[in-house]
Order: sequence, then C-alpha cells, then structure tokens
Amino acid sequence: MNSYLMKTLALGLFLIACTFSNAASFEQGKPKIQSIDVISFQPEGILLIGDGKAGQVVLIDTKDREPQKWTASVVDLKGKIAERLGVAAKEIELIHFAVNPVSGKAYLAIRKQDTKSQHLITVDGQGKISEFSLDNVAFKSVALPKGSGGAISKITDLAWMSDRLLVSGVAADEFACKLYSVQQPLEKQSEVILTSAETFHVAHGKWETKAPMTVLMPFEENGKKYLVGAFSCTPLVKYPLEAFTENAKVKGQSILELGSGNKPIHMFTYQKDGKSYVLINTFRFHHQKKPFGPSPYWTARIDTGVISENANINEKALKRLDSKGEPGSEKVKLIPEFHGVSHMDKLDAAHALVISEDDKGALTLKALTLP
Amino acid sequence: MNMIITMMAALLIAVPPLFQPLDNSPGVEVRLPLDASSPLKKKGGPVSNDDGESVFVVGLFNDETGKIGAPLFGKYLVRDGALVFISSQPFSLGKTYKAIRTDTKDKEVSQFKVPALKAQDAVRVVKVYPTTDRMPANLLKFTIVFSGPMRQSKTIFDAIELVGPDGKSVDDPWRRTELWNDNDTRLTLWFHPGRVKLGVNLREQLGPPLEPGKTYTLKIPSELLDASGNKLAQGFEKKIIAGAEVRTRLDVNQWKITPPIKQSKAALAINFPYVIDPYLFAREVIVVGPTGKTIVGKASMGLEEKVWQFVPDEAWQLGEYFIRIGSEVADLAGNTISRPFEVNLETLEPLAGVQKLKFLVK
Repeated sequence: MNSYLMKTLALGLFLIACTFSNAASFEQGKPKIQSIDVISFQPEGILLIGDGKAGQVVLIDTKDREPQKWTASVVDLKGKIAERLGVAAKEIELIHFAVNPVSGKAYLAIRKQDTKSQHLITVDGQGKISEFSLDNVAFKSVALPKGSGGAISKITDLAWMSDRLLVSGVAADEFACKLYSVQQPLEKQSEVILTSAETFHVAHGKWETKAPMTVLMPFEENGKKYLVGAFSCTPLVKYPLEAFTENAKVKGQSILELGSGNKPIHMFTYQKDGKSYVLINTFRFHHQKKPFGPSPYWTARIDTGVISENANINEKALKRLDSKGEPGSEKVKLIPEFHGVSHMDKLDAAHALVISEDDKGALTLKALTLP
Repeated sequence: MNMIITMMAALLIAVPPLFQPLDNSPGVEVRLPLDASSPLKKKGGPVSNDDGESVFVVGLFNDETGKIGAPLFGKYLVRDGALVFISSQPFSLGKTYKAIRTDTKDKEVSQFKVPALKAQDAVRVVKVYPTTDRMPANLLKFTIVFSGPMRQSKTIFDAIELVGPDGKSVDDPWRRTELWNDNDTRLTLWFHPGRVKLGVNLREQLGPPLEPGKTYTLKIPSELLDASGNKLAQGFEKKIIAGAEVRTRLDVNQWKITPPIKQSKAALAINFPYVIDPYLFAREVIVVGPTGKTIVGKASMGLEEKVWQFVPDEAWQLGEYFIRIGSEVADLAGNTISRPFEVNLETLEPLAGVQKLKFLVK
C-alpha cells in the first residue's frame, strides 16, 4: 500500500472514529438559533456556530466530508448569493467565514437585511453556491453561563483547541473580557468554565483584564498548548491553556504589537518550506489617514518564533512598526498578494481560501497560495 | 403556462389564472402540474434541485436590467401530481419574481410582484443616553434608542458622526463592534477604548475623541436604514459639552438616599453626584426588605440619569431595608463601584465587590 493510500485510510478511520464519538449525542431537527455571530469548524467537519444572543454554541454535523479540489474563483460573490436569496447585493451582509477542513468547502454566514434572517451559504471548489439549510440537521448545543455581570451580547470568536472549545464574547453595556472554556466531549450539559484573562497591553504598559479578545487561535509548542488572542488595540497575547480553570485569572504574555488603528479578523498557523508561520488579516480603520496598502484590509505573516518568545514579552514585546512608523522586523511581513482580503481561512497545507473586497464593496472568493 | 404560484395572501397580487393565494402558507410555493409522461410524476416527495430546475426555475426579476436572476434557494417536491418549488424564505416586499419553464422550447414565463409595505410611520431616534449635554471627556459610549427595529450594518460606524468644535468630523471615534438589543431598537455605540485610555498609542497618535472644555455634536443622519430599508424620519443631533475626565472608582457613600415612610407607596430615591449608566444600574441593583426578600416594584432613572426612584408594588413596612448594588454599576466613563475603568493590576487596590446601602423605613 503506498503512502497516499495509507494516509487516506488513516484519515478515513480518524473521521469515522470522530463521527461515531460525536454522533451519540446529536439530535435531529432544527436548532433554535437567535444570531450567527461567528462560525468555525472542528477538525472532523463539525460546524460550530457562535450565537451570542442565545448565549450558546451550536454544533452541527454537516455530513460534508467529500474532499474537493479548488478550481473556482467566484467574482461578484455577494451579488451571486443575493440573487439566490431573491434580493439585490446591497440587501445582504457577510457576517463570518470558515472553511470545512475535511471537504475544503467554504461556509459563509450571511444576513439578509429585509427579513433580518441569517443564512448559511456554501461554495464548493467548482464555485457552486448552495444554501446549507438548518431545517433538519444533526445538532447539539452548549449553553454558555451568564456568570457575574451581564450576559454576552455577541460572540467574537471560537477556537477548537483539540481537547476543549474556547469562546470569547462581549457584552453590550459593559466593557468586559468573557472567555469560556468547554472541555470535550461537547454536550448540552458540558461543564463550561468562565474565566477572565489578564493581558499586558504593550501600547499603554498596564495590566488590565477588561479588553475583550476579538480573534482566538490555538497554538502548540514543545507539547504545551496555548491560546493566542488578538485584541482591537492591537497586541497578540499568549495564554497557557492549562491555566484556564474555574474562576482563574489567566495571565497572558503580550508577544507582538501590530500597531494602532487596526482590527484583527482571522488568523491561523501553517507551515511552508520547513518553517512555521501565522497568517493574520486585519481591517485598518485608519486607512484613509495612513494606508498600509491599496485596501483597508491588509494581511501579515508572522514567524512563529515571535509567538514562542518567552523573554522579549510585555514591555519588551516586538512591535511591527518602529518609532518612525516603519516595519520594525522581518519576522512580521506584510503580504501584498493578500491586500483586500476581508475574510480568510486555511484551505490546505499550501493554500488559504480568501474573500477579497474591492473599493466598491464587491467580493471575490478564491484560493491563494500561502506566503 | 399552467403554473400556479401560491403565497401568503397578504403579500400577493394575483395575476389570473396563474397565481392563487393560499391561506396560512408559511412561505412561497410555485406549483406546476406535471404531464402524464413526466418521469417525475411517478415520484412522490422530495426531488433533487437538479431535477426540479430541469422543469422550471424561479428567480428575482431585475427591473433595471430586465434580466431574471439565478434560481432562488429552495427545495422541490412532487405533490398531488404537481412539481412544487418551496422558496427557503418569504419573498421580499416590493420585488418581482419570475418562474420560467426550462423543459419546453418556448421557456414560458410567469411573474408576480410582491407589493411594497404600506407606508408606515418612519422610525426616529427616541432618545440618546446620556441625556445630559455635559459629560466627562473620557465618556465611553452612547446608547441610541429608536422607535422601531433598525437594520444591522457595519456602515453605521461611518454614518454616525462626531463633529468637533472646528466643524470637522472626529476621525474614527467608534469601536467597530455592532451591539444591538434583541429587537434591534437599541444600539450601544462605544468609543474606541484605545482612544479613551491613557497612554495607548491610538490615543497618542490621534488624540482623545473628546477634549475637556470643548463642545461637540453627535450626528445621527436620517440616512440610517430601518429594518424595512427605509430612512429615518429625520436626523438627530445631540450637543456634547466635554468636561474633566473622571478616572476614579465610584464611592457609593456619596449617594444621597431619601427613604420612604412606612405604610406608603412613596418612592425610594437616590441622588447621585454624577451621571449613572442607566442600563447597568437597572441590571445590577435590587431592593431587599427586612425579611431578606427582594422587593418587587417599578424602578426608573430620572432627570439626566442623576436620580433613581423605586416605587414598590406593596406599601413599605417598618424596618431596615437595603439596596444591593452589583459590582458593575458604572458612571459614564466606565468607572464602577469596584474599580476605576483604567487599572494597573499590579498596584490595584482590592476590589470592593457587591455593596449594600441600608435605609430605615419609619
């Protein structure tokens, strides 16, 4: 048996095992979802929906496990989806995006404005656009406890950490960092730990707990697991996963300051030519004042050595821009090929699937080679 | 074309004989009786979209281009000898849809138009918190209350302006996270905290959004869209006179309680020396009676959010009551009873947590 077949067989057995381990507690029907804030996937193709208004994460077995090759580039993506929903492009808004790691199919959370309805849309490797109906699916939901203070209004991100799910949320009326940890297996009655994370904000040199995380990413090195969180003002911070226990205040290490005027959107790790990197895209709301490229959406590649750093942290953390506002290190590199990318996710070992936005707001979905 | 399109009666303009209303239909159905020779006729129940679309498709008609859009999302099934298409959601008001046969040479077309909603009262801005004109320069947020549901959109952060004393818009003042209540009638609009916190490079580079001693205008344009896609009845402007920044923990001992008298339903009142966040206060504060039970009643925040009143459902009784104040009660700058908004956790004083304010009913 050649190595390709061996790998395929191993992957198949892994997926079957994962499917069976999860299948027992899924129920069939229509999940009650109030808002789709973010979407993400477990490695075996289980879709995770962050529903802040209902204070829950809904897991959906998509049954979508047929790997496919990406040959499509879908221009006017928004217009094409809107047409299928029976409205004009301006009548819908893209909320979030994720790629099923098993099939490679793109999943988009879309809001249809006139009916205030939300829709899950898929695009396959040939560019075929379909609706993923939630009317009759295998699902289960995990409730997020309110904890002290107010309930969350919106989930900002989800990250599957191989043994647990991490969820970050924000509240409407208070400035708070609410971070939930749910140990696997994820079930309706799963114990959910609510923690607060202490973060050293490089920019203003103070420890503080209150800033909410906007993007979460799992990270592993030397057998130890970490959460890497990105904030709006805009450090990357690393937290040891083992520290997330009930009522704990988890202290993180700031490892990189991306610079002010940016809002991180997505990030993931990958390897290329024997080196490890993180790819992160952000929205620059200071684009008019000081652009980093032709679009307010810009992407940077970060050497994972920056994430591994344990000495130059907090006050000494690396800054992407030096005091003159110029790039301060080769370890954090702007990627021109990704200018305009408003949403992205890892497609395979060598590619990202991205949605780029032009200056008129038109969207294009395409695969790009990882830099 | 022998095709029947059915939908909620209230939304239908019938074009006889092809379109007929169907009472109590949850969505839209397009129905085509199948010929006896059709292979689909032998089937019952669900039909694949490929098979269904090989007979007819339904799409949005673009009045400007005269073209019919790609097939709508939905499902096909065979019922009572007819091929039925069920749209995945109700059709949109004011739009024209067309059904086209794809299995005939002539590609016959049927169309129907969903009437636009009758003109309703346009949504307006009811209130903006804080209601006072005078507020600390490190104000954290506005809460905008609308008379009806609004349309969520990230474009609000560019549409709502803060205009400075020089008549120019303040650059990028908002934290770009949409926070609406459940029915989209209340928007919590935060300043970007990086512009408010001391020493943050965003503030260092752009300056704070509000400076003490200066006057600004919050401008909510009429171009904001309500849930139906209509503009507001009119724009809304609010004057802001920025005062000194406040960066200290709230001291509840500065609050002045006016206790009610026994056997009355008079209001319990608290006067604050500063403006209180009304939504956090409503969530975090309860009144507890002499027996330890929570007192049921009606609470309201009064003039400029500096007075709180509580009227019980049942008369006050003789004894010692207390007001339980949750740790998140805050002023306009995010300072709570447990900590100031900005903290250095390495030198932070111990948190005060929940506090109780006693009062006697005599």
